This record gives sequence, structure tokens and C-alpha cells, in this order.
Amino acid sequence: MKAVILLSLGIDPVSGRPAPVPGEIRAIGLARALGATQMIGLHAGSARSVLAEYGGYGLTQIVCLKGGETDPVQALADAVKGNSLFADGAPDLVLAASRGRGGSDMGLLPYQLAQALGWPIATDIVAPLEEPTAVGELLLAQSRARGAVKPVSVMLPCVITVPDTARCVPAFVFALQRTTQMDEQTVTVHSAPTDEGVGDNGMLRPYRRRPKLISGASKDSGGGQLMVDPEPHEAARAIVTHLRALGVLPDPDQAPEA
Amino acid sequence: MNAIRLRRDPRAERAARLVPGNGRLRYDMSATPYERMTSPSGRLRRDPRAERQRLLTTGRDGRARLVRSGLVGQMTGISTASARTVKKIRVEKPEFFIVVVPDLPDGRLDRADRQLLGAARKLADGGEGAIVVVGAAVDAPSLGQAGADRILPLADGSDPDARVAELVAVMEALSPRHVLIPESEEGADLARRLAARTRLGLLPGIEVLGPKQAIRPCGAGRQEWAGGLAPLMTLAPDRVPAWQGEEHEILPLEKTPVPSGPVQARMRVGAIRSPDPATMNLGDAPFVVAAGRGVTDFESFRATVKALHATPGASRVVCDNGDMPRATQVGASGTILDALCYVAMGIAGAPQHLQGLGRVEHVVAVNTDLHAAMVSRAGLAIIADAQAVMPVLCEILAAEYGEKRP
Ligand SMILES: Cc1cc2nc3c(=O)[nH]c(=O)nc-3n(C[C@H](O)[C@H](O)[C@H](O)COP(=O)(O)OP(=O)(O)OC[C@H]3O[C@@H](n4cnc5c(N)ncnc54)[C@H](O)[C@@H]3O)c2cc1C
Ligand SMILES: Nc1ncnc2c1ncn2[C@@H]1O[C@H](COP(=O)(O)O)[C@@H](O)[C@H]1O
Repeated sequence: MKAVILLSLGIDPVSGRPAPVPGEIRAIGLARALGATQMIGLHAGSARSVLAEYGGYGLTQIVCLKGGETDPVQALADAVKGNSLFADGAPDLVLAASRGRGGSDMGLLPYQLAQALGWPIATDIVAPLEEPTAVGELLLAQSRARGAVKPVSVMLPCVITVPDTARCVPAFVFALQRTTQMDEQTVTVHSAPTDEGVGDNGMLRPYRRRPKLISGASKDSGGGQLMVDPEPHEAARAIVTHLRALGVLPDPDQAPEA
Repeated sequence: MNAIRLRRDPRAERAARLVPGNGRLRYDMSATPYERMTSPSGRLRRDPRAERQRLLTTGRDGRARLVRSGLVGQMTGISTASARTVKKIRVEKPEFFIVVVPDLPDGRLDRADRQLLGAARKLADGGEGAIVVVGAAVDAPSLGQAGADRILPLADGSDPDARVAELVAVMEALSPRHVLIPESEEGADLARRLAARTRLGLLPGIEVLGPKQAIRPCGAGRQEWAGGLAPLMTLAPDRVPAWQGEEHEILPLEKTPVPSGPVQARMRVGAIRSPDPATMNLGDAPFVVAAGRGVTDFESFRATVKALHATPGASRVVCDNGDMPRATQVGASGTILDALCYVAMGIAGAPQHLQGLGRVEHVVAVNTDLHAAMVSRAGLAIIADAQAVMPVLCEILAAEYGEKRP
């Protein structure tokens, strides 16, 4: 399988210096886990030295589309469709991070790219699922809160986004970074049709932390119940009742999940 | 000034207040002795007691109320009428629509959904707007209380693209001014799909929302963008309060969307699978039962964890001793939990351990020491020997669930 990893220019949230985006590093790991044999990093914009860091994670070929930053979606879609990336045909997968880090951080670009390519998009994928599927389909695990997953089956070719919480982090090898091959291609895109509604009427300023609303019922509703030297039976009963009131223990009549 | 000052005659005033009675002398101090009292300078004197008496009415809730506007009679009339009929706000001829797409987990509005409706009310009440809730069926009264004006049921499919197609049909029929979606797992995905499909502007993860301005973080959380509203917006959780005002009445929708044709199914999302608590990652686990040095019988501890269907945890000392694997260590140098409930068996609650409970809401402690830090953190604290409690707990659970649990 041939995979394209979308790379953006990220910054470190603490220092503000250029740094790889965690989701994109994990996208490299997920592409490996999905059995990609060829991988190319693709960036819409001119080549920067930070991008070489992805090479250390195993992405030894990176293509930068100089001039593509005016309309990244168009530039990336042209590159993916244009069959110029791989010697033997079009890619099967495009992987991106669920959210960028350092730009507008909307996470919208992968969706727009999927729309432009006419491919389906599977989001927040953390791992492949090892279950039989139809040919030309991928079965993936979509991450949900508290370690739960949803199985997603999607037709190839497709776009996949990877969240920062995925555990498929490839090891960093500095020697690989040094051998990374960065190509810069100059592309011309027609100026971007800006999205309706969001104009340049906004302004950027340093982030101001604002207090969140306090969650009303989340404080210990038990009210600090205390039992000193109870009978073991009494104590165990109290624990079961308390856990049931919290909803972590199902009621006995209810059939628990298998 | 008046040259002649009237002198008060206290004795005469007192005599005028005398109430006829039997035996003892009684005076009614609230009675006015003369028709109108004048001050020595000739001005009328106020009688605060009488004034207060005149202003006093019974309020809606039956408590005494002073009505100073002179509308005493009317006030009582209103209070009796409003006690009988519950007034609902009707938005009959809206100038514009605001479409709200709540998550509705288990078919009910959750916290984020209520906040979303609160935000939508802010935008709708800036003009004469109506809020249309689009989602799988929910009971109308709870939606009305949350501030919705219209309901539009939506099929609940497994293909996110089909949902988007339905929403596009809704938007074409209503041409809403804004579409509001929560920035939750499902909502975030839906909003972006909709934005890519319709090419409308999207502002995701809004933290401050007013009728004219929205603020959202960007630039790795180091910057924020402030500007005008967009057609599509998603709202970060716990930022805008839920609707607290009067209940709204749900009216039938004026226009109904034309159902869109079937979309080509290119992906399917299956039902959610919860992980096996025994092997899942400690940082994700919703329910953790942990052992400290107060636990000596680890066979019994493991049986208890299994019976409770929980994820095992441990304090550092226990891991150092080799009684539990290192991966189960909770605390500053172990795993920081994201659990809903934490049961601490024989754990003192050292600061390094308590750091690991950062986001845990409910703690249950079993400890022999009444003054342990973990006991003061706990919602239920049991001062007893863990070795005695654990086997009984296993017995109770086995008796209640029988062989139904793995
Ligand atoms: C740099 C540093 C990092 C650390 N990081 C961590 C960390 O990540 N995680 C961590 O856990 N610790 C950490 N520690 C260690 C921490 O300071 C404590 O030493 C440790 O948490 C204590 O574990 P404990 O509560 O199990 O044991 P103890 O402190 O010995 O407490 C045992 C408790 O069990 C009770 N008890 C005794 N017998 C019974 C019984 N029969 N039934 C019921 N209760 C009983 C006692 O009353 C007592 O409260 C760290 C320490 C340092 C210096
Ligand atoms: N200029 C770009 N070139 C290549 N990929 C990009 C570019 N911008 C964004 N991406 C990809 O899209 C993801 C989400 O970006 P964003 O929509 O900016 O949050 C990023 O993590 C990248 O994988």
C-alpha cells in the first residue's frame, strides 16, 4: 500500500519554536501499522528544516509544494491525484493529524482534501482492527472517550486522521533524519476561493485563559460518608451501594455486558 | 420658621391610645391618636407603621412583600393568576432560524447540549430568532426547558456522510443564520464534514460567544482569534452557560426539508466497544481499584478487582515490592488517572500518589488509619482492615451477579 502523510509546520505549545505535530508523527506510525510499503510526506509550502525531523520517525522522502500555501487544499489534491508522487500509480491512503498545531488548528484541511479528492474520510483513527473485511476495505479503530473504540470500515482509497492520543508513535532515529530526502516542487494554484462567512474580519492576539464554568454535580456528592470500624459485611454492602449510586457498578438484575 | 411652636402633650397622646380592657391598662401604640399628626413646625408627620401596613401584600410564594409602586391591588391579582398557568415563551414568526445539532447521547440532552442551546438562545434573542433542534427524537418538554423552539427529527444512521446529507437538506429548507454544534467527538467530526461539503465558513471550538463576536484558540493554544460569527460554529464544553430562563414552547416547523436521495455508502461506523477493564490502559480506565501497602492478601485483591469489573492500580511501594506490575502504578511517577471512580485499599495518600488522582471525581477509601490523607479525600471512607473487607465484597458480588459476569 502507498501512503501519503500530510505534514504541516507545527510549533511547540510551550516554547513557540517550530516542532513536529504529534498527530502527524503518529500518522507515520499508523501508516506502518496499516502495512504501507511506500510513504511520502507532503507539505503545501516551501521546504523548511523542521520538516526533516519527520524523517527521523521513518518518513525518508518529503515533497514540498512551493507556492501551494495560497490554497493548500487545491495544491495537495493536485499532487495526490497527479500520480507524480509514486512511480507506480496513485496512493491508497492519505494520513493527516486530527488537528494541526500552530496554525488555525481547525482540523478542517483533511476534510476539505477528502471532499476535493472525492474520497471518504475516517477520523480519529488510532489503530487497525484485526478482523476480516471485504477486499478494498479497511477496518479501523476510532478512538472514543475512556479507552472505548468504534469500528469504522471504509473503502479505499481514503483519507485518515490520527489524534494526538494514538499510541502508535514510531521510534526516533537521528541517522534516518540525516538521510531524509527533501524535494521542493514549484506549483501554481489558482487563488483560493475563500470560505463564505469567515472573512479576515478577525484579529489574532495572545491567548487569554478564561475560567471554565464549574461543573455543578461533579463534586463528591457522597458528602464524605465515614464508617469507623464497621462489620466487614456492613462495609462491603456500603461500598457496593455507593458504587452503584455512582453508576460504575451495574444493577444485579441488569444483564452486564459479556 | 413658625413663631409659635405647638407643644406636645405626651399625657394626652397616651390617653388617646388607651384601649378599653379589663383590669390592666393597655395602650395600642400603632393606633394614630389624631386624624393627622402634625409636627411642631406644622408639617404633616409620617406614620411609618401605617404606611408599611398599606404596602404589605402576600407575594407569589406566600411570603410577605412590600409593593412600593402603589400597585398593591394589581400585584395580588397577578400573583394569583400566574400561580395557576405556566407561561411559556412562544416564538411565532421568527425572522431567522438557528439550527442546533446536539449530540443527544442515549436520546437525552447532556451538559454540552444544554450549553449549546444556551448559546443558541443568546444569538436568537439578539433578534427575533427561533432555535431548531435537529436530532434523533427526544422528549419535547426537556428541549423546551433547555430553550428550543422547534424540533426536526433526524434519522440515526451509521454513515456520517448520510447524516451530513440530511443536514444539508435541512439547511437548504431553512437557510439558517447559524448552525451550532458541540465540539465533542461526534459533533466536531460532523461540523467539519458539513463545512467541507457546503463550503460555508466554520469556527470550531469557540470559547467565548456573543451576538457579535466569537473567540477561539489557535496557534497551538498560544494565540486566540477574535472576530465575527460564522455560519457554522462549534462550541467548546463548559464555556457558555445553559439556558436558565423561562421555558419555550415547541411549535410545529413552518418548512420541512425535502429528504435527500440515498448517498453512496463509502464508510460505516459500528457500535461503540468498551475495552476489557482488566487489560485496558490505566490512564483511560473509568473505574480503578488500587492496592497500597495496607493490602497483604493480593490473591483476594485481584479477585476483588475482577469481581468489581475494574482496572487494577497500585501505589508505588506495592510496585517496588513486586506485588503488582509497574504498569499499574498510580501517581506522580506512574499514571495520572482520568477515572470516574477510584477505590483505594490501604493507601495512605502521599502527595505523590494523590497527584495521580488529578481528574478523579469520586474516591472510596478503605484504611485502618482514620487520619490518612486518602480518607479525607474520599467520598466514602471505611476505617477497617482491607483484608477483612475484600473477601466479603467478593462474596456479595458473586451472590448478586452469580455466574453472569466473566
Ligand atoms: C519522587 C517520588 C515519587 C513518588 N511517586 C509515587 C507515585 O507515583 N505513586 C505512588 O503511589 N507513590 C509515589 N511515591 C511514594 C509515596 O511518597 C509514598 O511512599 C507511597 O505512595 C506510599 O504508598 P502506600 O500508601 O501504599 O504505603 P504507606 O504509606 O505505607 O501507607 C499504607 C496505608 O495503609 C494503611 N493500612 C495498613 N494496614 C492496613 C490494613 N490491614 N487495612 C487497611 N489499611 C491498612 C495504613 O494506615 C496506611 O495509611 C513517590 C515518592 C517520591 C519520593
Ligand atoms: N500546508 C499543509 N500542507 C500539508 N498538510 C497540511 C497543511 N496544512 C495542514 N495540513 C494537514 O492537515 C492537518 C490538520 O491541519 P489544520 O486543518 O490546520 O488543523 C495537519 O495536521 C496536516 O496533517
